[in-house]
Order: sequence, then structure tokens, then C-alpha cells
Amino acid sequence: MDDRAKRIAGWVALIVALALVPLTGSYATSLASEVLVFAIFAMSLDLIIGYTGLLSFGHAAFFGVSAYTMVILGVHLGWSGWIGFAAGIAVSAALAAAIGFFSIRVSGIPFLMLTMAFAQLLMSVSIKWRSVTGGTDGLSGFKRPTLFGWSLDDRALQFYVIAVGFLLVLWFLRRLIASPLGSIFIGIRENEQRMRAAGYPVQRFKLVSFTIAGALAGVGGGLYAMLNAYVSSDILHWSLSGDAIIMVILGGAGTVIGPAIGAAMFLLIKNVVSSRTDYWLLWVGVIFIACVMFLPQGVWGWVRARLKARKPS
Amino acid sequence: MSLLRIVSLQKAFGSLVVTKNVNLSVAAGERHALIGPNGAGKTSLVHQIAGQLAPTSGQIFLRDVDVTAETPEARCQLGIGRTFQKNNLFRALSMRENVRLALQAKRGGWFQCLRATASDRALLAEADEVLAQVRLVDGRDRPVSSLSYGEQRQLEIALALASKPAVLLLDEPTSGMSHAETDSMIALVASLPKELGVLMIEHDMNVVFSLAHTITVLYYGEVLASGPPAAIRENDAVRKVYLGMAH
Amino acid sequence: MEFIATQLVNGLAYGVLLFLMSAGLSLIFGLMNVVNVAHGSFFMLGAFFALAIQKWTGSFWAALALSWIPAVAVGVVMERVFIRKLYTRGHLDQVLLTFGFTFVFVDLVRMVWGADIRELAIPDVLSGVVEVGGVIVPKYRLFLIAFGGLVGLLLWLFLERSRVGAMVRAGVDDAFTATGIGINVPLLFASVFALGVGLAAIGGTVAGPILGLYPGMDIEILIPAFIVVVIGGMGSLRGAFVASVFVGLVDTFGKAYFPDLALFMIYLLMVVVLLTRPQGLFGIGRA
Repeated sequence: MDDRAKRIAGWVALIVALALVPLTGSYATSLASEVLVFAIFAMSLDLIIGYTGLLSFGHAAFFGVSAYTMVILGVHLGWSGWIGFAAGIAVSAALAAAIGFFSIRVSGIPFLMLTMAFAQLLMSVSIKWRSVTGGTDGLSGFKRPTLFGWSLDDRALQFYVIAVGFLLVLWFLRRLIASPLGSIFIGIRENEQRMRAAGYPVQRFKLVSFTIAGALAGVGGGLYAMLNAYVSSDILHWSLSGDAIIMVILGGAGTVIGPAIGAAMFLLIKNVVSSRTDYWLLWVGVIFIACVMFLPQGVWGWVRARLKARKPS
Repeated sequence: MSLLRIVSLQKAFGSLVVTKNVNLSVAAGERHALIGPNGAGKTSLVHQIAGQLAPTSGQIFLRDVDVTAETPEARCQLGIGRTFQKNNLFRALSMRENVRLALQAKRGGWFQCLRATASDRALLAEADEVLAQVRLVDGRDRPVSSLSYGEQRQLEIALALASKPAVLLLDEPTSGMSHAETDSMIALVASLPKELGVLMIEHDMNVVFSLAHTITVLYYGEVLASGPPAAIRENDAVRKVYLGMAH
Repeated sequence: MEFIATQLVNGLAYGVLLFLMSAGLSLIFGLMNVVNVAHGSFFMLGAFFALAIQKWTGSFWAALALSWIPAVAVGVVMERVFIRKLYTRGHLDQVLLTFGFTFVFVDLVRMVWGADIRELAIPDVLSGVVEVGGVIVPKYRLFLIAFGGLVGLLLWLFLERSRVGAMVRAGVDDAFTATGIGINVPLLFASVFALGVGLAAIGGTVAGPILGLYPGMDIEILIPAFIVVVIGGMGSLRGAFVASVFVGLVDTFGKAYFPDLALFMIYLLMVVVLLTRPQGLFGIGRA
């Protein structure tokens, strides 16, 4: 099979697999929905970490703000979830542009701390502004939007909407990485100094990458709101950003679908291990350490390398 | 008249002065060699011309435009291309992709995010042309990390050429090369476009005297002498400095 | 007046804790170019080991004198087995690896000591209050300030006056050349890592009586410590000292006067500093 046919086969297999998920029962479908939402979150973070080479500890800000926008507009103003969804993505993109503009002036650890600081500041706002955000108790009472008259309260339909969102994000990221803009992000990750010497305004592109990543995280946040019909300040905590980083690294930074696999792994470990022991963090830590030490390219990165090695050169 | 003009350039790190009142110019078509013992400040000078290092005082003019305050990326867009002393390539990417990226910087179309770079055959063909110019034809799709040192040195020049510079800064292009590789490099530099102004740092006197129209000798950050090769060869001060360094 | 004096004492005491943490972080970064996100875990481990030693010996002083030993042992193993492999791999991988370790350490502490807040008892000689210039001040906080000052002085003497300190400073400047003049760099690295981690453990021990001991204390001190390091300038011990005092005071006075902004005053402070002076107050300019 040539490359193009293989790619199409891959898409078809993925779509078929996703279509069949709701048949496996309500629990599995909910879990799968959660996995896909976080897969989007992780894939968007990978754009910054794996492709542009910046480690951000504040990505939850864009995920959370989008969810908040959707729920707040729905609960306080009665706006339809779909409008809220669009608004949420717009807000997270704008926020990413603003935070990115300031954070990108520094790099390395200061960048890590600055992105974390901005996210924590947002969390403090969400905690203090109880009247709007519900504070730490959160905001419930969100009415899910309808799709052509069908209620999205139905788990299976929820899953399909989220799956479509996931597939669109996946498609967009694949196209982006293969495009001129994507090659520039990769160039920055590979050798920032060389990119400057070649004439690229590197800072501008870091900001573009950061903003796109924020907007995509916003897509994930909106779908999260749709899934849970609830949001609280926990969604802005830096530990969520940390979880996303773990997903990206476990699955494979610098690959498009790696982080999605990482999200599945992380949530699976969390669910399976925490049902047996209170100390699931320990296992996450051990697995993550093993990954960083022995499988730095992540599970999918490793798989991809083996597949490439099999091809005659 | 002169493509590159450096006026009274001075660079000090505290009390350590690495560039002392340097004046230098490179005209279109000129092959200008910059020589001097280790520590003379040659690479610092090139860093200042390329924009990686900010001078303490003085000016740099490119085609009579003052670029002293410009970023490295802006200077590249204005017409300065450079190679690095230590290979500074995109190691995980292929030869072709390295050049394509450099070409793309001058081409524009940066924000296209849905078209595949692989479909831009014209740009890829142009990349192949640049590679051919530096005599790199085989293994275009091999990652740079698998290339030999000499091939990487050639690729350095390819990347600089891809920026379509008016002035090319070559930082020790033959460093670490064998005799055969050096001869290839001499031929390559000799075959560069005639309109280019080339400023090259070199230690290999063979290379310098084969290629240079003008030689500037740098010693402890200042210009010791500057002129055609014959004049430099006869210059007493230069001979004293290079005593013991002759081939 | 009394109020301000109390905040001043509290702020300086907190600053001491931050200094013990950030000094270690800065040393490790400055010499080894390694970022240790698990540094807070050693703070926590020091405190809990102190708790165990106090239970075993009944003495706070014994705990203070000995708690750093098991903590340093853990640190040395971590450095030798794991971190050593990542020297060449850069900051990203070091951050990720040590981040993973924070999960392991926090759950191990939870497993052994549970999640409730524990207490480290102060010896009688340090408990109670004292009157200084008409102001009532808790003795323990004064002890902490004096202790911090002493540690700072010893550290400065060590780095500036001793031969080993000179090697550390040489290594900070240029590890490659340091090897060239005969310094055993791997041993030096392991020693400095041990020193940094030991300082954190001691910090946790003396912090125990005021902060209480609980599994989340590692992150609670780590983030302010990193803020201190970033504000002071990564790799700069002087920066760590100045910024510790600064951040300690800002945090304490901030919580007192703007309780609403409490948690986030120091984040704001860091944002302001980074945006006006990206390399920090005394940064050594290594990214």
C-alpha cells in the first residue's frame, strides 16, 4: 500500500473505531469522551512543547477559560451552548495571544514560571469572583445545547460530538505540521539561532504557535463544558497543566497523535490504579520517570521509529 | 559602492576590549579575507556584523543603510548571509529540508497552515539547485546528523546562499577539513556568484592567498594591516606577528 | 508598630526558609546547569525524617542535627542513578524527570505518615515569647532568623574562603575547564547536589514547627522558592539571598494588608520583575 492509501486507511479505521465506542456501554463511553477531551488538550499543548520547543506550565488557563466562558454565558445570560463554544474559543485565543506576548520575552525556567504564574492568577480571579464563577464550588446548571433537535444530554450523542471535534483538531494539526507554518515551528525547536540567521522573526512565530495552541485548548475546554455541564476553579489549577505535560511526554512529544495516546494512557492508569489503591500518583510518577529515562520519545514516538526502521531505506 | 562598511567598530566586555576601532569594507564581487592569530577577535567581529553581538560603539552599513541596531533576522532579510564556525544546522532534518527552510524565509508565504510543504515542487527544485551549487547532490533526504563533517560544512554555505545574500560572511569555512576537502571548498568559494561580496575568516594561508582580493589582518582586536595579498605578504608588522606561523 | 514588627519577624523567618531552598536550587543550577523540580520534596522529606528522629530520640536538636542525612542519601541516589544521565539532555528533560519524582515522593510520604498534618515539637528553650525593644516576638521565629543568618554566613565562607568552595565557583564558571585543571567534576557535582538537597532538608526541619508537616508541603514551598530563584537570577547565590528576604517580606506583608490577594502577590511580583528585568536581579546570564 502506498503512503496515501495507508493514510486514508488509518483515518477510516479511526472513524470506525470511534463510531463503535458507544456500543460498549455507558461507563466506557463516558471515559472515552473524557479521554478525547483531554486528548485535544494534550495535542494542543504538544504544539508548544513538542513542535516549538517551549515548556509551558500554564496551558490549563486556555482550557479552563474556554469552559468558563461557555458555562458562564449559558448560566448567567442564557446563551446557547454553541455560541458559548465559539465565544470560548475566541476568548482563549485572545488570552493566549496576550499571555504569550508577555511570556515569550523570556525562555527556559522563567518562561515556565511565568506561564504558571499567569494561570495561577487566573485561578485566583475565578476563586474570588464567586458571583460570576461560583468560586471553588463551581458553576452548575448549564444547559447543554441541542443538535438538530436532539439533546446532548444523551451520552452517546455527547461522545459523537466530542469525537467529531477530536477528528477535526487532529486533521487540522496534521495539516499544520506539514505546512510552511508548521515547518517554521519545527525549525525553531530544532535550532532557534539558525532560524534567526536565516531571516525568520522567531519571536513572532513563537507567539503564533502559542496562540494557536491556546485556541485549540479552547476547543477542548468547550467540549469539556459540554461533557460535564459544570466547571469549577480546579480546571485552572497548574496541576492540570502538569497532567497535560505528562500526557504529551508519555504519548510522544513532537508527534501529532502521540499526546492523544498519552491522554488515554494517563486516564486509564488513573482510573485503573485509583480503583485499587489510594496511591495512584506514585504509579504515575514511576511510569513517567521510566518514560523520561528510557522512552523519551514517548510510546507513539517509539512505535513510529520502529515502523520507520522496518522500511527499507 | 561598498556593500558592507564597518566604521569605527568597538566592542568591550568590561575592561576587555575585543574589537578596537575597526574600519573595514567589502565591495560587490570582492573576496575579502580576515586573518589573525587566535583570540584576535575575528569571530567576535563577524558576530557583530551578523547581529548576534551588539557593539559598544561604531556603525555597520549594509548598502549604505545603517543596520547597527537591527536584529540578526532583520539583517538576513536585508542581505547578510553567514555561516557558523561550528556547524549550526538543523541536525534532525534532511539536507533538502534545511535548505528549503532557509529558502522559505526569503520567499514568504509563512502563514500558510493548510498546504503541505511537500507539494511546493518549485521550492523543492530550488533547494536542489542550491545544493547542487555547493556540490551536494547525493542523499538529499538523509538527516544532517548522518552527513560527514565536510558535507556539513558545505551545507552551512548552502544555507547561507539560500538567503540570497548580498554579503556573505564565512566563518572558517575550511576548519577541520582534510586537504582534499579544502581544495573542494576553495573551488566552491571561487565559483560563488560574482555579485556577492564575501568576507571570510580563515587560518589556512593557502586558502587565503588562492581566493582573496583583499586581506585584513586583525591583531588583539585592531586592524594591523589591510590591502592586496602582495602588500600583506611584504608587510613587516604582519610578518612579525606571523613569525612561526608560516606554513 | 507591634503589628509591623510582627510581620517583619514573620517575613524574615519565611525568608530564611525560602533562602535555604533557593540557595540549594541556585547552587545546583549554577554549577551543574540542572533544574531540580523535586527540590521541594527534599524539604518535605527533611521535615518528616526529623519527625521520625524526634519520635525515636525525643529530641528536636537530634532531629535538626540528623534529619538531613537520610534526605541527602536519597538525593545522592537520585543524582547518581537518574539525573547524571540527563546532564547532556538539557533542562526540559531534567524538569520532566524531577517533576515525576515529586509524584513518587509525595505518595511515599503519604503512605508512611498519612495525609494529616503532623507536628514537630519545639524544645522548651525555643518556645514562648521574648520582648525585643518593646515588642513581643516568638522565640522560635527569632531562632529561625538567627539560624538562617548563620547558615548564610557559613555558606558564604565556604564558597569564598575554602578550597572546595573555589572549585565550586570555578565549576560554576566553566565545568569543562575545571576538569582540565584536575577537578573531579562528577564528584563535585554529586557533592554540590548533596549540599543543595541537604539545605532543603534542613529548611524543612526548621520549618516543621511553624508550617506543620503534610504531604503537600513540598509544592507549597517549591513554587515560592522558584519564584525567588527567578527573581534573584538563576544561579546567583547573592540573588537568592536578596530575593528570599524580599519575597518573604512581600508575601507576609501582602497577606497582612491585602488578604484578598494573599496567595498571588508573589506571582504578581515575579511577573513584574520578569517583564522589566528578564534575567532577574543578579542573573548569571545562562538561559
